[in-house]
Amino acid sequence: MDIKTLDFTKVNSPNELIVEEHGFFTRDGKRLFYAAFAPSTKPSAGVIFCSPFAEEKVRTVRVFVSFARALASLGIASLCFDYFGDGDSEGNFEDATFDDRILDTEAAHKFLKEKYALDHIGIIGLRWGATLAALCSDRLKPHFLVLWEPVTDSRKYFYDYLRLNVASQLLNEGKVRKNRDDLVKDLEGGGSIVVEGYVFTSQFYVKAREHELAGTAFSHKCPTLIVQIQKNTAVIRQDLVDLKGAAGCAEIVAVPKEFEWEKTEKWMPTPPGLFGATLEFMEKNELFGKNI
Amino acid sequence: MNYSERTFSLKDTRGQAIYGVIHEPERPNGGLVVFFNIGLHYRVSHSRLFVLQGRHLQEAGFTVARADTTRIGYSHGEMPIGRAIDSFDAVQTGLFKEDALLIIRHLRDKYQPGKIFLYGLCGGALTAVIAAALDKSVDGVIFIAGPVTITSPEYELSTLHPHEAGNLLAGYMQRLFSPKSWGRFLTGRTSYKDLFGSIRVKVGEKFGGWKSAEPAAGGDGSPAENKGDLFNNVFLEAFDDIMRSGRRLLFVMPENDRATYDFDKMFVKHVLPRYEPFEKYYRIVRIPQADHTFSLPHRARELLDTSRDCLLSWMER
Repeated sequence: MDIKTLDFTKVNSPNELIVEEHGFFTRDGKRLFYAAFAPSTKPSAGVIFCSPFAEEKVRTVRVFVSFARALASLGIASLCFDYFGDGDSEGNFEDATFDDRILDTEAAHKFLKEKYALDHIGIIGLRWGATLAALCSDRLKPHFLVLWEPVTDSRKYFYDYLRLNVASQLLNEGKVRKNRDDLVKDLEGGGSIVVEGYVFTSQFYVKAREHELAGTAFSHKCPTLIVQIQKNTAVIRQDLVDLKGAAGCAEIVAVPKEFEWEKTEKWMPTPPGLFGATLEFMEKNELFGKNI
Repeated sequence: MNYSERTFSLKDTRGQAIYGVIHEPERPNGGLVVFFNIGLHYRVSHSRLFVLQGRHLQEAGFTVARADTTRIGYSHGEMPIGRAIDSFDAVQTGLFKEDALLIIRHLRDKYQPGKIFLYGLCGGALTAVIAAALDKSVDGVIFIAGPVTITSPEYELSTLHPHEAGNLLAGYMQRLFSPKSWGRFLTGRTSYKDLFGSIRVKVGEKFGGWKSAEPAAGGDGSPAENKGDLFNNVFLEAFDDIMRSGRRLLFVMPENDRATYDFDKMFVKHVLPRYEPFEKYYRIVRIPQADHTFSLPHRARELLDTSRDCLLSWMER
């Protein structure tokens, strides 16, 4: 199979050349869910997928699964995993800290590396998962990094996220008791709030908003693809241009928004523009076995 | 309690893998509960509701399975690309029933439970009742916020539902004496479409403008019928079968949900009176202030407890 003959719309069909394994690995005694997708022969490289935050992850899991299968059919092993307190992993969402997510990502990297005896592992992340992927890169030193619509300003991202709590107040109580600034004060004061059914704790919020890509200097330089996913592909956002500068050997591509993370009105588990741009980057960087 | 969740998989006749997670209790009570996805969502459900419910039931002694039906989550298969809404009718009339039967059979063979229960939310509730009607080894179903209607996507997208119109109108009524709101209204910053649209729908509903279609008993529920909000006859047939075979059904309906509105208007009002002789087999629990996905934790907790208590009572039968 090569990139040119790969039919994205068929990647989720049974394929005897792909070996799939689901289970749990352990990080500091915590059991974390994983789904591994590998070629039936020795993989040329590996990829770990960093999920977006909270409900965005639920809505986009199929995109990760589809791309993991696409990569496996091209000879690359992939690992989808759930952070502690998220998805099928052990724990409650409200008990997971920012550091947990970083440590989980590092543990997933180690697990995949050892499982398939790989020398080269890349990281792909979506939205705030891309932020985590980039934040981990100095420690994990990935062979490559792919950031799908990364959140560069965590403070703004989580502030915007609180809007869903405000909408819920309006729906359930008919009025807004607390606006976003009030909610931030609650969180800064040690309280917790509920957003889309997830308990969002002070402990998580205060630390997560401080860790952002904007202004971060990265010491580890590796081939990096930044993908802007939005309707308008003609203009690249300045925050991504700045991120490209900080990342060193990075490139940016813009693809149209083919799938959704904030709602589920469209079913598009195999976005061709995003998958195509990512595979093109990987091929250009000779990640499909030839020179690894 | 030790962490005792593990993954499982099986294959359908086309070789498509179905993946899931099993919650195994420390002291099994003999009950197996199988969960079914919401529409096109995967097995954790909104805000991990199914994970929480699975663990809650596991603590009570149940073996619980959460699986992705084919085409969803981690499982194999291809769903047509396009608007999600285009698949809803198919889900609600049994798209995943073969997967459901396969999963039940696999788990029944493996665990040999004393009793089998199905648990589904929204479209998953329909999968659960339809599968239960087909598999007589199922002892009961927890049907949560399932839509009892089938609707053409175009109708749904172009029509303001009376429940949503009611919510909008309630919001406007709360602001009736707010000078700020009147200021918005008079300066064109109010959504007139929402305001007058909601009034129109509620007035129309009161005077019979909104069609709450009389269910046609014995219909085949074929897609050709789906022109506008119609009662889902596939659901009715499944309900009828479960009742006549003396099995149990718990309806858990969130108060703040259009599915509950339709449930009351079309099912409770028109259908249930015919099932008076079967009253002991079903029960309706309403969760106040809960929305379709039980996004408020204390309301989710009510769902978890209600379901657990009901299943425990069914175990004693």
